[in-house]
Amino acid sequence: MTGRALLEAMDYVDEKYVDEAEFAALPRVSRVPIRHIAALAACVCLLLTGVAMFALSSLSAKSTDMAMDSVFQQNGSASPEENAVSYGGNSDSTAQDAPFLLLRLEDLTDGGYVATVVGASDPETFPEGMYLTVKVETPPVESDIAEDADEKPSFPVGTLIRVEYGAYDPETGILTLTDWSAVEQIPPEEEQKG
Amino acid sequence: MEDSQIIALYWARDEEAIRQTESAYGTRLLALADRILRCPEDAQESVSDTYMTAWNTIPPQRPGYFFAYLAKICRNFAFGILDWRNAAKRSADVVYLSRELEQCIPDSHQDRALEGAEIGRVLNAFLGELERESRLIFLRRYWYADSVAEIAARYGISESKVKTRLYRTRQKLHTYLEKEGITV
Repeated sequence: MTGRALLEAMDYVDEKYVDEAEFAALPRVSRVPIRHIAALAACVCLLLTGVAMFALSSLSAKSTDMAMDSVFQQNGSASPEENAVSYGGNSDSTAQDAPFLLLRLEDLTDGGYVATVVGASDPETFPEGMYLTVKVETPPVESDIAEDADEKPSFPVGTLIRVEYGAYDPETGILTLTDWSAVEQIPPEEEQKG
Repeated sequence: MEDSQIIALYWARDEEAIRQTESAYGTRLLALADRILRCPEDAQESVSDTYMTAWNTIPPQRPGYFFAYLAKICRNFAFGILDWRNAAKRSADVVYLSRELEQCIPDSHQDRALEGAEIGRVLNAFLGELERESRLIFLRRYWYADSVAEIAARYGISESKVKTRLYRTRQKLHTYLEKEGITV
């Protein structure tokens, strides 16, 4: 077969191809190779994924911090980070080192209150929602200060208090406070801020 | 006017069909014939013969691709004129003797037709497998007889790219024909 025969055989080419060659435009070809575009797209995807993960982790940490801060601000105590440091054994900051509880006074009982735990420096021992009986061991006082000793703070039911406790008996569930000075009432306006 | 409407005119034996055909595709057909013949007068003759053939074949034909149908006819006429031109350059004696001898060969025309049809079938299969860009460039070159520069201008690509595409497509076709048992 000769080239001329092949040229003449082109007459048998399907009319759809002949038509296409006359009227169709060439497919637009990108000047940038596909592999470059793919690599760029992959980089952008990785970058976006990284940014998204960073944003999510930051958001999560921030929200946790805010929640914790609100609780600790209510108590007038240090932030968890600060507590973690102070609980490490720094004897200079005794006020921060003292174990504390955030309690909601639910009811009155003989010589004290029934309260639920809202927050604690030792959440393992005092999980949130735990019921406690709070009593105050009035220290022996001299007669000249007896009047002061009788002036026990009286908190209405529903009040949120922060206490630095002295002893706790897990069997009886009685928390004994050394004195009322270890009790601090959290004003309702500060409570609402949280 | 739509192709289907023009074809309907042919079927209605309305001579307006030829005027509409010329209006729609006259320029394209003339360009095709001129690219093959490089002679405006011969090209015009091919186009006129094309209209006449279309008139005589529609009906019964109802082409699906009307322009391609006309272009095939036109291309055939153009190659026929080219052959006649080349034959005229030969010695009249040789041509005469050749024709005489041809009469001794049984069904030589039919053999060529069968060969052409077979090659055409292979070509169609090959074109079907070819990517579109290569197919368009290949057909512009070998069906429409466009020059490399014309193809480059038509598709807005460089001439070197057209040449490269054509070279690769020819290589592929060579391999394809070999697989099919056709040697060129």
